[in-house]
Formats: sequence, structure tokens, C-alpha cells
Amino acid sequence: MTEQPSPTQQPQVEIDRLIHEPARLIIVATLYVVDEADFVYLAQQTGLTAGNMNSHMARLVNADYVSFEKTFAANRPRTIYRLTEKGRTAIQQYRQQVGNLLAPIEPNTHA
Amino acid sequence: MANSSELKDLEQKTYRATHSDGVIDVFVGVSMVLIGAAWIVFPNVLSGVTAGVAVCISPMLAWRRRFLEARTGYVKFAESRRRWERRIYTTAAVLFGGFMVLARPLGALQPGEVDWRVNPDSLVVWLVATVLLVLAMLTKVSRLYGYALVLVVAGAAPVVTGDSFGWPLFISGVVIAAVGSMLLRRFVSQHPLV
Repeated sequence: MTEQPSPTQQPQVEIDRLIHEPARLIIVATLYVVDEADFVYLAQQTGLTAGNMNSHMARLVNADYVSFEKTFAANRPRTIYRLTEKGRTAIQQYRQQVGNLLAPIEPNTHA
Repeated sequence: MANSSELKDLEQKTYRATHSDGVIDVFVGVSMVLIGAAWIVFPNVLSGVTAGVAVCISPMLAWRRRFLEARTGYVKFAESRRRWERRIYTTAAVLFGGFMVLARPLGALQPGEVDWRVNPDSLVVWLVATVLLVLAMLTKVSRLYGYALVLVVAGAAPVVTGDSFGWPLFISGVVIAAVGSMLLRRFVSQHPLV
């Protein structure tokens, strides 16, 4: 029997759930290490369908983590994404949060 | 994603992934075949062939960029990475081009003098192998180690046989172009036009 936390109980460790989702984490991490990338590139990196990608990108754009620019390349529309300063700070904080969370865990303690 | 080395690894991995298409391999391989063949058959036009290959580098890179973007999408790496890439390619081109166009004709020795310690012709093989080795270490693209090894092995043969040093370039070029063609074929089948 596990004790359920009450709704008012604050979590001990804060994790940015917007970045914590695996697909969005790959998107944000990829945009962190490159200057900019388009929709097709990010979709290939994450392996997501266009519909799923659109949904994740919309959430990141709404949170102001990612900015976008619509351009044309070879007469075809292209949406280019960049990580904003807020997004950059968010992933640095996320790294810190995960690092703090995992720091007490010794590697191979159950080996 | 717990530390900066993992982000660096991700950047390396992302960068490496943009070099799995084989276009540069095919270009380098064909260029080496042409230069090697000119060296063996028409040594008088060697500088011209080398200069011709050098002229084709920029259009090839522009074509490759369009080719990749049509299949894997567009990505622009950080300025530090682009600066590093420009520096590496410029250094390699200047070393190789400078040697082929200037140093080699000026320092050409009599045919038959094949001792690698005194024959400047032999330097080109070690030069290209060294460039490939340095590129392999910096980019962690493992097939470049193989290319350097093929070049060194092929480059040792003329030292023994007294043949032209165009042969190592020609043979290695065939190997590199063949590997590049296989990579290109796999890349095109895995990444159809979007």
C-alpha cells in the first residue's frame, strides 16, 4: 500500500514537464546544439509524424521556448525553428534539475 | 542530458549524421582517381587536373547542401562548428593543392628515385593520409581511418616497386569512391525526397 500525496503537497523536486517529454526533449536538445533547423530535419531526428511534430512544436512555441520563421526554399515552404533565450535557459535548468535528482544515486549500486 | 559532455556528444552525433550520405566520399574518390590517373599517364597536365578538381569543390558542396536538404531537411550548425569546418577544409585544400601545384613541380626528381625520405612525390600520400587521419580523429567518422589505412598501404607499394606515386592515389580513390557509392545508395534509399 503506497501513500498517495495530497493535492496540496508540493513535489520535492521540480522538473520542467514541458521539456521532460521524450520527443520534446530531443527537439529542444537538438536545437540547443545547432543554430537552427527546419521542420523536416527535426521530424527525422525525432522520428515523429508530421501531426505529432506539429503538436509538440506548438507547445514549445506557445511556451516561448522555440521561435519559428516561415521561408521558402526552392519554391517550397519551409519552417525554420530556433531555440529562444528562454528555451536555452530552460534546458540548462532542466539539466541542473535532473542532475540534482540523480546525484545521490551511485552508479551500479544494484549490479 | 545530465552534463555538458553529453550535449557535446549529441552535437558530434548530429554533425556526424550529416556526413553519412557519401557524396563527399564519391567526390574525393573520383578526384583521387583523376589525379592519380593524370599522374601516371599524363604527368604534364597533373597541375591542371588538380586545379580543376579544386575549382569543383565549391559547386559540389553547394549541390550537396541542396541534395541533403531535399532529403533530410535543413540544419545550420553553430558558428563555432562552421568556423572549425571551414578551417579544416581550407587547411586540407591548401596543403594538398599547394603541394600538387607548387611544391611537387618545383621539387620533382628523376623517375625511379622512389625513396620516401628524399622523393617529394611520396609526401603526397602521407600528406593525404595524415589529413584523413586528423579528420577522422576530429569528426570521429570511423571510415576515414580505413581510408587513411588504405592510402598508407597503397602508398608503401611504390616505395618498394618504384612505380609512380599516382598509383596509391588511384587505387585509394577507387576504394573511397566505391565505399562512397554504397553509402550514397543506402542514403538515397533511406531518405527519399520529402
